[in-house]
Amino acid sequence: MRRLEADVVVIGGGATGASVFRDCCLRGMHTILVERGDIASGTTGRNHGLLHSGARYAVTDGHSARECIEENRTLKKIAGHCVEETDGLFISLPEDGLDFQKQFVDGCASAGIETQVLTPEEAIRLEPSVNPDLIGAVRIPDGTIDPFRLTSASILDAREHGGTLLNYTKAVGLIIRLGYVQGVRCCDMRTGEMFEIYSRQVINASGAWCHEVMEYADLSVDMYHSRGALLIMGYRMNSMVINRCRKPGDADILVPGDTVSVIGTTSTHVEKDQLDNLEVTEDEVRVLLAEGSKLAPSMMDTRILRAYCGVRPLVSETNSSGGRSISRGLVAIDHAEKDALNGLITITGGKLMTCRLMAEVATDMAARHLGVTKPCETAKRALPGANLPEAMGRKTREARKTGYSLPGSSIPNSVAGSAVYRHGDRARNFMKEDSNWNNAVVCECEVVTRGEILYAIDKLNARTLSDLRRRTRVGMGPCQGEMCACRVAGLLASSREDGEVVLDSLHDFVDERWKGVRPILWGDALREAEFSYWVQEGLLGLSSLQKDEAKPLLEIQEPESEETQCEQEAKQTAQKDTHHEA
Amino acid sequence: MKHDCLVIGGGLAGLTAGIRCAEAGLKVTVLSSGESALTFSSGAIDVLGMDTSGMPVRHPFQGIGRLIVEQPDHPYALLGGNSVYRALDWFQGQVAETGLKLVTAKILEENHWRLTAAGALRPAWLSQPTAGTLDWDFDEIRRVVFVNFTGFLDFMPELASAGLKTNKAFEHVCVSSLNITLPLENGSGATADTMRSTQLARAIGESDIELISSTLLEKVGDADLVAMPACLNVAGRNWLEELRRRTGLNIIEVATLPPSVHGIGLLRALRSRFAALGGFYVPAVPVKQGVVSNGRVESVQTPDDILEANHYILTTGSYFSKGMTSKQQGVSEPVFGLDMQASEEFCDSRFLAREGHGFNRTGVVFNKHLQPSINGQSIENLHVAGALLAGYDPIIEGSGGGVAISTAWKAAGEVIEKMGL
Ligand SMILES: Cc1cc2nc3c(=O)[nH]c(=O)nc-3n(C[C@H](O)[C@H](O)[C@H](O)COP(=O)(O)OP(=O)(O)OC[C@H]3O[C@@H](n4cnc5c(N)ncnc54)[C@H](O)[C@@H]3O)c2cc1C
Ligand SMILES: Cc1cc2nc3c(=O)[nH]c(=O)nc-3n(C[C@H](O)[C@H](O)[C@H](O)COP(=O)(O)OP(=O)(O)OC[C@H]3O[C@@H](n4cnc5c(N)ncnc54)[C@H](O)[C@@H]3O)c2cc1C
Repeated sequence: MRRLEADVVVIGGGATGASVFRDCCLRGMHTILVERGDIASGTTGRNHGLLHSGARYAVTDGHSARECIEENRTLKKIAGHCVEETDGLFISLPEDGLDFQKQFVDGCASAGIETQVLTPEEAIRLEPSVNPDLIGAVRIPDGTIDPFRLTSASILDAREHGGTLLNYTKAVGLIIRLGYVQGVRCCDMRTGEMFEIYSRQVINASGAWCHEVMEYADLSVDMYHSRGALLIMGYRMNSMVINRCRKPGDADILVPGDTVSVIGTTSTHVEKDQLDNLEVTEDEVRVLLAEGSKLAPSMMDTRILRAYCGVRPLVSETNSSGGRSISRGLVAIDHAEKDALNGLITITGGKLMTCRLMAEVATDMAARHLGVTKPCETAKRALPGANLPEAMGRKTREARKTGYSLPGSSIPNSVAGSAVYRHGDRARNFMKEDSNWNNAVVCECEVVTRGEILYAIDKLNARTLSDLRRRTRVGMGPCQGEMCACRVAGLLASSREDGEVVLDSLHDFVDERWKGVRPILWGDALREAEFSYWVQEGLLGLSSLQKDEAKPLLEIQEPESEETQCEQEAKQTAQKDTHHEA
Repeated sequence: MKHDCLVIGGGLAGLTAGIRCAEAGLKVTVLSSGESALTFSSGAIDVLGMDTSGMPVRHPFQGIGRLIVEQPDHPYALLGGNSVYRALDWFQGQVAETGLKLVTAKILEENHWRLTAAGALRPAWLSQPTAGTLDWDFDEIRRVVFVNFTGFLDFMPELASAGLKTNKAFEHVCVSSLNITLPLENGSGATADTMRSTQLARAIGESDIELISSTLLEKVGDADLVAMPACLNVAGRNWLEELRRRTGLNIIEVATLPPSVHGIGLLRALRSRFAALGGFYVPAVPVKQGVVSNGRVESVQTPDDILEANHYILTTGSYFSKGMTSKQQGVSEPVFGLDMQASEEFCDSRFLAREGHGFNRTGVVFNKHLQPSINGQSIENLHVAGALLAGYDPIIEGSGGGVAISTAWKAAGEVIEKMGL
């Protein structure tokens, strides 16, 4: 059996795991990250993308509020190309009254969140899409954050500092000897190969699934899995985040992001065995539209692009009065102290936007055990891509809107703008004048070029079409990958992968896009879906190229060989792993 | 001016109906608002490609006989295999009058295979001459090469090679791909990576053809089948025929991602035939609403006009052509508010499901004369045809073109009969 060694193994490639990976590598620890799917394929790829100011928690949870505003400021500094400083409004509608506003402003003040109370007229002037019936509004420093880009940039930094990323690798067990976790048993989800990684610390950052990893060591945690549904609207309706100024409830945040707006969310408890069953229901769609249009009435007439949902990895705590309360804060467990099991740390709970802080806490614990004294640098050090040198001119987040002129080049500003927007100064790696054909636009909706696709394959570990989507936004726009999916499959097939694998990944991509469209299949969404179906099935005949489908000319033969348990599991997971994603 | 017949929708069905009416001497106008599905299609016409169990159909007109026993509400049930055959034969003849000689398989009444840009094979009935017809058995084929022009994104030779290799019949066939970098003589300096198929077709010139033929002879001279993106036969320049002649190779054109050079070619041919027969084609005019009273259409409204005719044929297509619209509450027909039949199961959980999707079977209900109804009452002087009909799945069955042509042919026939001609 293959055997690897590392100082630290991180389990889970969401925002949290990626940040831990980065922190460990920056402190000089030799680190391997294992992720059973692709990076950001868990909850990190299925959230609202709100860079909280903390205001949402100002009244109910001052501690979380303070955590948020601090990380809000930090991320704006270190991850400029992943963040948009949109600011946000907390609006009061007639049915809410203005009582809450007073508490809200006080709460913000004590958490250190700057506020500006606006008249309805001022609010409408700032954000014309807002419900004109509002009776008051408060401006706060909310923003938006792109989870894919944030995760990808953290991983890139870690790898540039000696880290090893093993995606499509599942941790299937812990190697435990004499009360010490000595490493992780892994399974390569593509080949079924089992191998071991020996390590001195294992950091469990597997989010909503962290109880499964703990079960490998017979430990348990009282998770509260809270499911939330969201809808992506077909265009960017609002330029500022819009919240309701009342106790947090359903569908009360409208977040602009890239070319779209996202309304969310709901909150319902799900059982452990339903974590991978994430279909948005008709009821959820109804609630989201009804409540969402109270924030911005034009929503009722706006096309919905897709629906998706995710599961928050919250932890229940027993509070002083004996009841249960659900913490929104981060939960870091050093199992050496809590359970007398050395070598294992669990980091979960929290939020997307507190991932850096979560990583700092977990990495501090690991560093203490390993005797590493180098302090945490992640709050000060910019992520790859975030530093646009002066020569590149404008700030990244403006590049998308205003275009970007690459010095001495004929690449259209809009094309260069999108690339710089997504990859910051790293866009220079692929936006090259001399590179043949690379500036051809593959995905018109999101302006993704051939060069960007090839860069993501080469440098960002993208192996499948869905991986490429998470790295580049290919197929995420209004057409949901009608034709670009096929073009990208063509590029993937020509660049390095075995063609049959690419065909499978094209099917997965198409099915995954479909998952999010099905709950909202009317109007333009249905028109696009019908057209996609004509192209992909009528014109190209993709269904007959599926491995598990009978081919017209082919008698199916069952493979003779016995599957290993791991292979079976790999298959099951591959079947299960069809969640919704943003 | 009062028309004998007003056709609403100028796609494959609308123009077919228009041509038949004009041929019979009726004063007929076709109104169309947007692009027709043909613009995006393969350019081939399918009649029946798959049976109800998902197996490919070799003899489509016999297949129709079996299909309509199982599915008596299928539009083909109004015609039967023989009439569908007559309609397609007539259609082929009409198109041939314009100089476009669509081809069928070499063996009488058989489908042929159409190769796709992903390497799949789909049964088709009529194909454009440069697309060729692949025989039902592939015994003769030992080496296939997919050839693309470097940078062109809408044809995927490597993917197609992999796709074709998944087919058992090609297990022992050598399948490969080749990219040729073209100077693009008529491209005004633009490169293939910035072009869609229609632009590429215009950019190719003599020096490109010279380069393609010498490269083919040098690199793939022994191939039994060479597949190229369909952009080598436009505007009277049949470069493909030229390449076949110069190389002696069996070269076929394969439909690219949309737009479709072949589909647009067919659409042009239909329009020119319609005009030659004295028909009147009005582009870019949407019909907003129809006025119906006592079971008859009185008139229809366009943005600036009210039009009257003795008979109306509605061929406005499906969702993406806006012949049908949908809201969260359901699907409707926007011009007349015709009765619809929605499938129980509107969509499957898998996109490329073998059973297809209910939304494709959803459409306008019709009686045996192809008359639709409103609240159960048939409309006497309105007939419907093409993609907006209920009760069939053009994609899963491979019947899109065949249903459009044969139902339009029949709808026109009904009108002609009523006019007493
Ligand atoms: C609906 C919704 C809206 C939200 N909105 C926001 C918001 O606006 N702002 C915000 O800051 N936060 C938001 N959150 C919270 C935020 O998304 C999560 O807290 C955060 O993404 C969790 O990241 P993570 O890395 O801990 O978990 P995940 O992203 O779930 O990562 C865990 C990873 O571990 C992998 N894994 C699991 N088991 C194994 C194994 N055995 N071996 C290898 N890998 C394994 C999984 O595949 C997964 O990729 C929202 C959450 C939800 C559900
Ligand atoms: C990508 C693709 C691939 C295909 N491949 C094949 C194939 O290989 N083989 C095959 O047989 N078939 C194929 N087809 C299907 C075939 O093209 C259609 O079945 C056929 O064209 C349907 O014709 P239609 O006239 O009913 O509808 P359409 O072609 O959709 O025409 C309807 C027309 O009506 C117009 N219209 C709509 N509303 C109004 C209004 N209110 N007023 C005026 N005009 C209006 C529309 O703008 C449009 O021009 C394919 C289709 C697509 C999209």
